[in-house]
Amino acid sequence: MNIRFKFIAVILCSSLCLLAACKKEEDLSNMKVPRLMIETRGVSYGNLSSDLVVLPLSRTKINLHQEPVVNEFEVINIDLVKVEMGMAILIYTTERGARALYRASVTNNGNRMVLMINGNPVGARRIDGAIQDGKFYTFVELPDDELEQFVLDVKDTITQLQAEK
Amino acid sequence: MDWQIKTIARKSSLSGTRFNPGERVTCLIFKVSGEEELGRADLLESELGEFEISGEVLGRWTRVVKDPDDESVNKTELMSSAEDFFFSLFEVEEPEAKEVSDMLKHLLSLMLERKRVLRAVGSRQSEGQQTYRHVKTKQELQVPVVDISTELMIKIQDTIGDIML
Repeated sequence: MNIRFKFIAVILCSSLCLLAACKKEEDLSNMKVPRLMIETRGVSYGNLSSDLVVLPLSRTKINLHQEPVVNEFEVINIDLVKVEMGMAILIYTTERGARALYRASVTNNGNRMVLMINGNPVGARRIDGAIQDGKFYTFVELPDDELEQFVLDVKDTITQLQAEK
Repeated sequence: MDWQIKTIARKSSLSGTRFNPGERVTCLIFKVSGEEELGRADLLESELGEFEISGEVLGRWTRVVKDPDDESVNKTELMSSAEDFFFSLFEVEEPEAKEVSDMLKHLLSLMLERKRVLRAVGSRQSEGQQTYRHVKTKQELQVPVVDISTELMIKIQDTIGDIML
């Protein structure tokens, strides 16, 4: 009886672990992890570690620092906003992210900030002044009809990441 | 403001002699008197007394000349040069060079904060003065928070790009 009980318990535990793993895998497959990365300087004496990325539609090539300015744990929300030139993405950062954004916007004025999703560039904006409010907006190179779902997916990812933090 | 762009020198600003690998070179950053220009002089330590600077020295740092074929960058050395330059900006307080000096202090402080050499004290200021604490020495410094335009930023990079973090 005891052996039988242990056997059932092992089976139950294994099934639960398998279910959790499947759920995790499912969650991860839909994740859209946002990061903000900065272009390396034109005269990049001190930086030998950069990655070349290519924007999906314009095929613009940008050399990026490997270290993100704002990572996925420092993004607290994302919105789709309508501006004069069309639909843009607005990213809200934590206090720590806002400080990093401010530092990067001052010390890299004139360079481009790139929005990366799961390590792929989706949009870039040239920095033309200090960003003091922790909000970063950019246009993204995605079809308009995909933007809404894109924002919802990123929002879900942020929620999951904040919960796991 | 029009800034004179100086490329990173491989020759002495005094004698025009090419630097040899291993030699210690002092880089002086100065504001050209009567003009809105930023100048740079690279000199061997032995030449420092002989060079006549046509303006107010804002700051300085020392570097060791590398082999031209050796492209590796010693990050500790780079950090140390930026730190030296930052502190040297506080040694001279010439009213004529205040604007330029303030911009450099602000820029360097943000770079050193990112590298955790400096720590911002109190609330983060977007204007006025920001207090920073030097982590190693616990020394506190007041750094003016000023605007740096994109155009000026690009020119600053051309002048001190080799120590920008």
